[in-house]
Amino acid sequence: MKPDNQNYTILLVDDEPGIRNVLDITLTHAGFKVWPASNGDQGWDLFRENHPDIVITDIKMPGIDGIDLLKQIKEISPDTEVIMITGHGDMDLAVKSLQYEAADFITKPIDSAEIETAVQKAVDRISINTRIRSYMADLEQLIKEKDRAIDESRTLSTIGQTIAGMSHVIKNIAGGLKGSSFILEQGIENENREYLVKGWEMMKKNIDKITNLSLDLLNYAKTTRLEFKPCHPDDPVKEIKALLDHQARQAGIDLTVTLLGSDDIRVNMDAKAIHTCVMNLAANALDAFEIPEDPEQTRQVHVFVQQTDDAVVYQVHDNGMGMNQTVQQTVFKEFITTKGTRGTGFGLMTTRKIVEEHHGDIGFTTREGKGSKFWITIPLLKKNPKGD
Amino acid sequence: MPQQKDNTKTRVLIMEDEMDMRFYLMTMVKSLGHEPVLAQNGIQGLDMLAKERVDLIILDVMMPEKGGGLVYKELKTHAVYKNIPLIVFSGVNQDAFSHYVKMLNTDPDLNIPEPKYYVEKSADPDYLREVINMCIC
Repeated sequence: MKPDNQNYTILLVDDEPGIRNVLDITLTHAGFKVWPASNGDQGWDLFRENHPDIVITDIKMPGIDGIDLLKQIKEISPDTEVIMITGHGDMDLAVKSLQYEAADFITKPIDSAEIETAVQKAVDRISINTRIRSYMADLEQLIKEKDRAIDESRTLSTIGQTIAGMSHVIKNIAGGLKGSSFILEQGIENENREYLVKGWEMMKKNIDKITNLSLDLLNYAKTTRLEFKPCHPDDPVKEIKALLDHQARQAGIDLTVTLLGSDDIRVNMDAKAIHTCVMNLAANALDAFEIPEDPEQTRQVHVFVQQTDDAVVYQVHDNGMGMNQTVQQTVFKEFITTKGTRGTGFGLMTTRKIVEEHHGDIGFTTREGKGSKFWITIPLLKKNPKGD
Repeated sequence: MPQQKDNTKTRVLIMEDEMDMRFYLMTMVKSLGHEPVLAQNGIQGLDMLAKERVDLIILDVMMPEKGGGLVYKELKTHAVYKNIPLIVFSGVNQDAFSHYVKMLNTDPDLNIPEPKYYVEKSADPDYLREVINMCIC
């Protein structure tokens, strides 16, 4: 008797009392806790009551036979080891029970060494499976911990980049303010009106820039506490045309918006944040044209909302300057701005962050001199939300 | 604005793409009694160098088309231009620019010196004035 065996329980189902008694005695003597049953129905009841680790069942029995019992057990407890007892000429049934994932066979007449070997193998398999499961659980835990550590370091490095980028932006503004105050001083000293006007304009631009920077920072901070609600995907875009129309007209740009229109669609999103995203893309598009104006060109910016099978797509197309390689590579990553003193470089970073928080996607295609196409996809609200 | 050619004045070539900064540098140079020569990018700047006498160059680094880094390399490898005093005036910090020069010098045929005068854009106007004065004396 192995002391380990005490930890394992066996359901024994056989309609022949002789075989049942012999096996019961053999297995009990080997240290197992045994529940004997004289038919399939009783066996099934005992199984549900006691959840034994191992089942030994005769194949041929009146009522529920061994195959049915095997099927029922495997359905609710796939890990249970089921050993079938077969007679001569039960080969077909034996093969069938294999399909239903029986662990092993023993043939009548039963040899006690054979049964002990079969049970021992079952015990070994259970113990291996248990160990594998516990390793897997450890591994999953380990992966989770590593993931968390990676996430944290990523967050830290993003914060680092953010601060570095911010200091660059602020330094630029400081440079602009110092320059403009110098020009103003010169204007006052020399009573030079041109200096005064220029210096004052430059100072105002830098004041605007620092105001925009603080707004951008606020928007960026907001991306960490978005409020998701089912919304109509047209909503965030509706106001954008009204807000940008004046600016577009002044720059001689034809700004058009195409909405979905249909009423029955809802997307789980933060409408304000998506508004910020599309607004950023549209404002960038308006800034994508050469100064001075090319009289040959009709300047166009088109914002549209589309729907695919599983997502809503926002697109912003312009026929402006397009972006060169260097700009393309860093466009979402850094505080890049091609707008000279006007941009802070926060817009696209914020946009990407918001889209990521929505489990969406962002991308673009661009050709220098031909224009750019930016797109955002936001997954549709699932009807049967599962998992996260 | 018409630029008067005055051969007695020190000529300062300003290569800077941003209009505001260009105006600032122009004002600075004028306030010191020198004559500013303005260029919106490196290509324009190099053209002007070929045409006019220049006593000092103020060079921005981040410019579209031909960036300040390439212009710097061209100036410092040119038999005549390399002796014209030069101030790098940039939003990029000096370490990054030094690194750029080191990268250029991995070419065994090149031996480009690091800039002697480097002023970051956020520097005080007084400091920039001092550096300009140091270059012209």
